[in-house]
Amino acid sequence: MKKQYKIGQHIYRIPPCPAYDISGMENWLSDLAEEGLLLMQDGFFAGVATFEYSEPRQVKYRLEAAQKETGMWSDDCGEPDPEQVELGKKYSWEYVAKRKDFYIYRSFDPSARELNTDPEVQALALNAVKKRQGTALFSSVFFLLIYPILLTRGCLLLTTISMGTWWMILVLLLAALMIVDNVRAFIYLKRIQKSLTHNGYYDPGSDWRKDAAPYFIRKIIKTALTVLLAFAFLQNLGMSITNEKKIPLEEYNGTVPFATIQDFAGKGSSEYTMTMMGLNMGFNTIEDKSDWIAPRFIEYNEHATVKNIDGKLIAGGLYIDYCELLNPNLAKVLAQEFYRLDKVKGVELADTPELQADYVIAYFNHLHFPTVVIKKDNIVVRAYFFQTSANYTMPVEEWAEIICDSLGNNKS
Amino acid sequence: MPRKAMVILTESMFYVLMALQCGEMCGIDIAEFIDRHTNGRVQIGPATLYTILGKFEKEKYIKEINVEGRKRTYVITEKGRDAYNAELLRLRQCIVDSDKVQSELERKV
Repeated sequence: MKKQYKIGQHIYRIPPCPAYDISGMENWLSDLAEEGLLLMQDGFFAGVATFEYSEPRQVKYRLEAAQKETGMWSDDCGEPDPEQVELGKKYSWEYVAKRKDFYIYRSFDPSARELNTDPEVQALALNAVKKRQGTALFSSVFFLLIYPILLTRGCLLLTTISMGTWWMILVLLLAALMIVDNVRAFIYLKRIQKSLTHNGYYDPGSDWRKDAAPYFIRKIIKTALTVLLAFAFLQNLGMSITNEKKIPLEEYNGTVPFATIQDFAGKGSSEYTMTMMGLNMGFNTIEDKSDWIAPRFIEYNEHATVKNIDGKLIAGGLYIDYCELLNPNLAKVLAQEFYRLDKVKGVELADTPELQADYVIAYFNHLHFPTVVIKKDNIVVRAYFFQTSANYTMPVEEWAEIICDSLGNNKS
Repeated sequence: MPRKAMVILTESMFYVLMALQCGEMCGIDIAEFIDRHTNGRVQIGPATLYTILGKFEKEKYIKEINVEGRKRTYVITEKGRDAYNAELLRLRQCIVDSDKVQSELERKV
């Protein structure tokens, strides 16, 4: 049953086709006018069209390619040239609204002179829209693909693990959808131009109903992804500011699968004490995460002092990024990414300790702390240990070996 | 092969330049000029007219000399006059060629 409206009632509709589908938009608006739904003045906002119910009638709608930016912040708020609107009125065309790169005009006079009378000029007018579409495509590729790669210094695996693989897939899906939409728009406009130049028309009889379902599905997916990702981003941002995911070491009930400061002191160690406590700066904390491609990813930091059996005091801060990956190949990539990320900040290479591992690199990081990256089977560890003991400094080879030997042993 | 707009002027473009040959005009004046001088044979739509004016301004065929409220007044430039004359020459040549062919046809008959 058809829905009944009152005269003057406002009705909201989402357009069933993109703005660049000129004939689709024109036909959709004309079809709704035949049902009594007349597009309201400036009736497009945030992708929703507002109509006013009135007597059903025949209305001709025409879209005109805007020759300038139509955004709110552009010249004249992106509105069409007032003189053009006036001339349009003279020929029975009323300017109604704008949608993206197009101005929408309508006429109640079936014999009104066409808005566009020269197909070649109309094709020429579409160049401006196509150019903006090209810029949008370039921006999408840059900001959705190139910029994140530059921002993460090409460390895509590390970023994926830090973000979560599923989130990364959703981001890539959204990026792909946006890029595909831009490419489709560009190709569609090129086709219209070709048709206008060669045939003198742009397929005005096309049926908007035919492509409405796929268009709505794409739109729903894109909107849902955008909302989901925005929500996840804000939630993550909040958590990273408050360090909510980090657990104090004293409260952590799990087991760490690598050696820690107490292990550096060996058997018979004594007087283990955590330092830098109560500063509320995230010291002595652990974040134990799990992800699809990295079943275990731990960010660990420990500040402590401990005496070994010889009475030597080992003191300082140990920072470890520990990652178990799905396979050794991914582990190799991650080990290289860990090093690359530090290299960007500035490193000084050190002698590589001889360890029982597939890949080892040692260097002083940008803070000049001795750092090692170790890859053993499917496990990768990046560790740096700065020492503050006045009477003893443990050599890198020693603590790196203890860490390396502990990997894959499920130390508790 | 389709004609490439702006290399060879379309009919509407030609008439816009023709109108501006006669003096400075605004868009509405140009539309009226074309209606009047073609007895309504060439009808120029508002979107077409303003796209042409925009393109011509960009190509420096015309320039805006005055803005008074909604009214923008344009004047043809030397470059625009050259484009108009080149197109006029081309069209005249078309007529000469067509006349020649017509006379040959008539002679044969």
